[in-house]
Amino acid sequence: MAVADTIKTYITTELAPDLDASKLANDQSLLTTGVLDSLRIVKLIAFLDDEFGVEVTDDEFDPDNFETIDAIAKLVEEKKG
Amino acid sequence: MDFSLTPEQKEFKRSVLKFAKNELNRDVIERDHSSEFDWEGWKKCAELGIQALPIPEEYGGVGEDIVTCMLAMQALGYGCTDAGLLFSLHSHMWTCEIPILTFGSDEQKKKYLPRMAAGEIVGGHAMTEPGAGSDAYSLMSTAEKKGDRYILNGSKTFISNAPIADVLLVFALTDKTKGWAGISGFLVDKGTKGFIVGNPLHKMGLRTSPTAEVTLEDCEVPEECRLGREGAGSAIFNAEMEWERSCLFSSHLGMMQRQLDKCVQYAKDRKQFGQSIGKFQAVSHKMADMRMRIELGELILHKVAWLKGKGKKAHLESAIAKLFISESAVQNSLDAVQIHGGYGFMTEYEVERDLRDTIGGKLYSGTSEIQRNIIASWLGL
Ligand SMILES: Cc1cc2nc3c(=O)[nH]c(=O)nc-3n(C[C@H](O)[C@H](O)[C@H](O)COP(=O)(O)OP(=O)(O)OC[C@H]3O[C@@H](n4cnc5c(N)ncnc54)[C@H](O)[C@@H]3O)c2cc1C
Repeated sequence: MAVADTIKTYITTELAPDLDASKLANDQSLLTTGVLDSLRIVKLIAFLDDEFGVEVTDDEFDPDNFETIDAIAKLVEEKKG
Repeated sequence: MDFSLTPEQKEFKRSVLKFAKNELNRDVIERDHSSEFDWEGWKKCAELGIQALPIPEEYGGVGEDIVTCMLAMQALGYGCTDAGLLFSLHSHMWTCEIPILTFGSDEQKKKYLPRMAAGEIVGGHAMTEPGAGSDAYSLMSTAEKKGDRYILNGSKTFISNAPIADVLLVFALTDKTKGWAGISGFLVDKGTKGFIVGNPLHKMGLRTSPTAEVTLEDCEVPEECRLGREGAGSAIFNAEMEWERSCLFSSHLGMMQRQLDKCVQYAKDRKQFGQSIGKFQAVSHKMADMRMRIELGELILHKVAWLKGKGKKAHLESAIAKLFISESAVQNSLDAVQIHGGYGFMTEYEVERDLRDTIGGKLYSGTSEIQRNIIASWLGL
């Protein structure tokens, strides 16, 4: 599964299970729509570590990096090198 | 997980303990009564290198790892009975030095860290507002961009170190439409026009650590004062809370060990009904429970340090540690008063002050209820 799809599945099953995955676009804001709050981001970061072996540092824990599924996937891809 | 200490770490802990016992306990009862900060103790800590512990050498510090920082703070908690002085040190180190170190530009690091490490200037942070406590991200203070400057407006309350601080990390909204993701941090220097520090607030405990309200009235700061990017406020706050929830509470553990040692000695010496009160199970079991809480608190803190030392997040673990140790410290302090009987209630025996000082621990850095909310949310609830 592509990185973005894996992230989307986690968000729509674990973090925001009320959300209809088919209605969540990869470029849609997760912050202004309230899909992610600061606590859910912390949990998402733990997931990224478990799933992709990617450790998000304190200064990367920035809302901009978590604005959309595409942005999160980009962060993961960059860190995986 | 290997939690064993190196010989250097053991020796360092011993030396900090000795220093604290000898140098930091001047007139604590009187200063607690008059709510007086111990500047002399602050300077002595700086001479020993306490404020420099987490700062790398290039910025005038000693660059110690988190385990060593925690050991030092634990030793201070044991040796120093002035919990207010330690609380001020913690605010300075974890809520101001660490954010600057982690998120600051090179200029900001050069401007503040060497002097903070040397104890020449004092820092703190200002998040809480009259209407935004546990729900910290609902803050209303604003930072409006005007050209290459920001205009800060709002009011902050319960700000530790504010009356003595040279710089405060102030959180304000740069983008109201984004809510928590629109919060940014600003380093505001004492004396900046429109940055008004109120009179010290009177408190139940931690009286030797000054606290005040801060008002921002068209307080204008240059863009270079922003810490990190616009919107990085929540990231900064989260990072500092992880440090504070682990390092601050290592001092609680030190205090709890000192308190237990004192209780054991008292229970051996004090005789009633023809024997030491420690021979009564009702008394000795209290101390067994006190010991158990210290042991478990120490284990969870070592786990947090181990995780953070590996560069991992310890959000859940630091919430557990904060909750467990702060509540244990209050329970142990209640037990200590009970074991000392009426003497424990009297100020001169220096038992009751620990109770007053520890109660704040269930409130600051996120209340006990908020820590339980965090833990529950990790359970998917
Ligand atoms: C000694 C001390 C030093 C401090 N230093 C600083 C500082 O340097 N900088 C700073 O910014 N702030 C500081 N604070 C403020 C501190 O962070 C706040 O007091 C704390 O976050 C709680 O906010 P509040 O006091 O407004 O209580 P409230 O948020 O109003 O809470 C009142 C009660 O309601 C409970 N409650 C609230 N929401 C929930 C919920 N969702 N679920 C369950 N229970 C809930 C709380 O747990 C509490 O029991 C300090 C506080 C103290 C006591």
